[in-house]
Amino acid sequence: MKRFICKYKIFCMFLLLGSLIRAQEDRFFPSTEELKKWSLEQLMETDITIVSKNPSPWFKSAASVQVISSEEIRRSGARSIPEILQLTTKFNVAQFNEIRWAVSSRGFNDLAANKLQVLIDGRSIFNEWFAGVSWEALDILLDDIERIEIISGPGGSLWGTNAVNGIINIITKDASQTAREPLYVEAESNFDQFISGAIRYSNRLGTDAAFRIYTKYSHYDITPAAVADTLSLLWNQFQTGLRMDVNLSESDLLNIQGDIYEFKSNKIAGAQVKYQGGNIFAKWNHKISDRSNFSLKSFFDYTQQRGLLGEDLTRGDVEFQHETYLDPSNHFSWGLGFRIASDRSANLPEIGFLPANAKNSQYNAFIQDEISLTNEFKVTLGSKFIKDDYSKFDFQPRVQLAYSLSETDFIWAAVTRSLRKVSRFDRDFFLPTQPPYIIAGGPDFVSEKAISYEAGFRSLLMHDYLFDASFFYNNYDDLRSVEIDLANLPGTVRNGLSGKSYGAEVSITGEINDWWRIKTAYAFLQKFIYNSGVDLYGGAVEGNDSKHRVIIQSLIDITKDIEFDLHFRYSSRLPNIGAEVPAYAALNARLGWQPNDFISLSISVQNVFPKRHIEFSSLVDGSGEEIERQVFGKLTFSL
Amino acid sequence: MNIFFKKRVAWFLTVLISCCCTTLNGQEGVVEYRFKAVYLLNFLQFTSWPDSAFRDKDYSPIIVGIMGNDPFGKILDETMLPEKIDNHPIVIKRLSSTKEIEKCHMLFVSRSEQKRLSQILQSVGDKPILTVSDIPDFAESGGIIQLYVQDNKLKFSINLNSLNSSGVQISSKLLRLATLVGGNY
Repeated sequence: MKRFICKYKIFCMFLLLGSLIRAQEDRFFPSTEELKKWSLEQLMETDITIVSKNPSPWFKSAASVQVISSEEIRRSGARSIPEILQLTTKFNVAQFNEIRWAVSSRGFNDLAANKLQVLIDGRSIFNEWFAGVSWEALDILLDDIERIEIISGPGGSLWGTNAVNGIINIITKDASQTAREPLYVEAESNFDQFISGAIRYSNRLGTDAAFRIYTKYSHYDITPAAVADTLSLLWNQFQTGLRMDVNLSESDLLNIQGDIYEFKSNKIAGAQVKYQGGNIFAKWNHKISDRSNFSLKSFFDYTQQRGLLGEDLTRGDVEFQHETYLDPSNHFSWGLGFRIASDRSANLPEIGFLPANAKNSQYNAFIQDEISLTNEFKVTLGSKFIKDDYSKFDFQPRVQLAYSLSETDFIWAAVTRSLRKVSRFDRDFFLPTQPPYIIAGGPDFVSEKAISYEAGFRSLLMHDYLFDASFFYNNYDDLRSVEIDLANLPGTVRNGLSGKSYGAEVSITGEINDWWRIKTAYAFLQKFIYNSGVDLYGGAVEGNDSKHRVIIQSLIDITKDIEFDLHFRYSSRLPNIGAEVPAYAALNARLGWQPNDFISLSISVQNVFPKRHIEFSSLVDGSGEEIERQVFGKLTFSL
Repeated sequence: MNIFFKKRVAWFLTVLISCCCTTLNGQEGVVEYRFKAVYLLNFLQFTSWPDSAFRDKDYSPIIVGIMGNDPFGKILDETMLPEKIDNHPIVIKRLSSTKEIEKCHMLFVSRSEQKRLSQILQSVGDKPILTVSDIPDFAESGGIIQLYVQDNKLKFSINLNSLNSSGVQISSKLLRLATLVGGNY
């Protein structure tokens, strides 16, 4: 019987996947006030299953949001942030080689994809100077992560610049949370060239404070005897850091954290590369009253890169945010921010940045008002304002509407204007660094602009399945082009491209039963780039994107202590001429065993099939490497 | 030209959307935990603590602690904070360590704490604290009240041994509605 119900549920799931808009039944949902009037006898006779087993506070967010929990991260077998992002179709993640990744949302994927924002506990790790994220140098103790919020599409007014097509918001655990397990140790290896280990100590300091301190080291060395040295790959990554959370009083919370790291590799664009750096971050939250609070946060970040092109980048940032309920139906927030960045570029004769030293100050502000017009209908209006040394004053407004059809059905729509800010890479890039130049910077380059129209629908199907769909249409203008006219050198970086894209993201997540959870997701993208000038790459630098992507994730608890997890992904071909990549489907598998409360063991196989495949190529960086099957063993110990 | 036109349409829509609005009010949470919150309030109403559990036996607040990840969010506050139990206001505390347990009158143990349950119950010991949870087998493991779903309905069971040793008194009405575990009355 149970089996039959199971099959029936799956059948229904697919049936409903086909029809996006579901007929509404009238359901009775008493309010809390009404429930309080009921007797216990009455309450105990009421059917409550009209409800998800995984209550999600994001159910009613008017954006294309997905949240990856720490449990999903642990069970994915992932070793890096990009691998975790492969658990969603909201981002397109393609592996270029063992350490480099192309990560973007809603198209424009490239090793240096630039239309996104990445934050760790509110600290931006997007390099606004060079417009990209150094995924290879980004490390974090994955067990410290509480959740990752993934938003495809432009962020609201609360998010920073560059959040044109997506935001990755990594939130780490409070130190008092990790202090429950004072000691945590993990070790992982592929039984061959890769080894990684981490240790964390966490504890409480009195009743009102807690801290943690961690160190992580990874080493990878593959040097097949028969191949030339340039084909070998060797990297080392070391990172250590701490976090402290202090309750200064009933209404004041202080969070301080910092990391230092070093990453060395002999294989980024064929050169030996070394990143070193550190950051320190502090945030103070103050509750003014039950309806109002503010936060003040600041970070300082230093990165040194040595390799093909060297740079020393120092960034300092201060942000203030205040939010208050003007009345129960009106939630108002505003904020101010200041950021200063200073860079020293170690130029090569052939390529570099002029001037070699530069500074940029950026001022920004935002306001946002969230108005509940009725119990069901909410409107949010907001805008971010920005001014820096590279560009004139500009604004990024968003209007969003949210409507609850019922307790289990929700629709939303939004219109946003967003900017990809001018970076040093756009303005000061020279080839070579002595006259006569072939490319002489981009003195006239202005920010890239996008207007996005989005709509989405969320529903709890048969109480257990969260159905989520979002649709978008984006219009891009002033996209970056490199224009070289051989008869009229030097060429410059200009805004010669424009484009548009549309697509959809659909997912179903749910529990088939107590021991089996499943997630299926599909994303569709259609993108057009128009080259009005004479772009060197004919617009191909603006991403090499697949049209269709699918993921299926299955988490099974075989017994209370044994987990069996599968993760399937499919990507259709990458179309760019000269950088075509065939479609591929790949499967990862993981078997986990937790013999007691202290130890857990797991074996994961990356790419059960195919044995090897290529995921990404680009005109600038060439063909990606074959990603091979690997088996990893992992041991964790906690006390 | 084309893009310029579309931008205009975008702005027109933006303005249009922001202009078609009228009345007020807030938003709702998830039904299962709304029920659970109301059950917790009912339990408070049908429970009495020894006078020693309050600094001022008539006016001191009843402290409801939540151990672990709070599954209620705003719901519990909305349900309980406006209420009083015989003059005692209700205060909700999200606990971060087992040391804070002793201040509570009612302790809700979140599902996130399943693995640490025995440690938490050990901290509770014989103190007059009404422990409640929706963790499976919570009552069997030594907790007092366990919420569970049966035939799509929210039920609860009470462990009489744990109840007796805690010194908390529960109205016979609750005992009547509950599934009883352990002990004999």
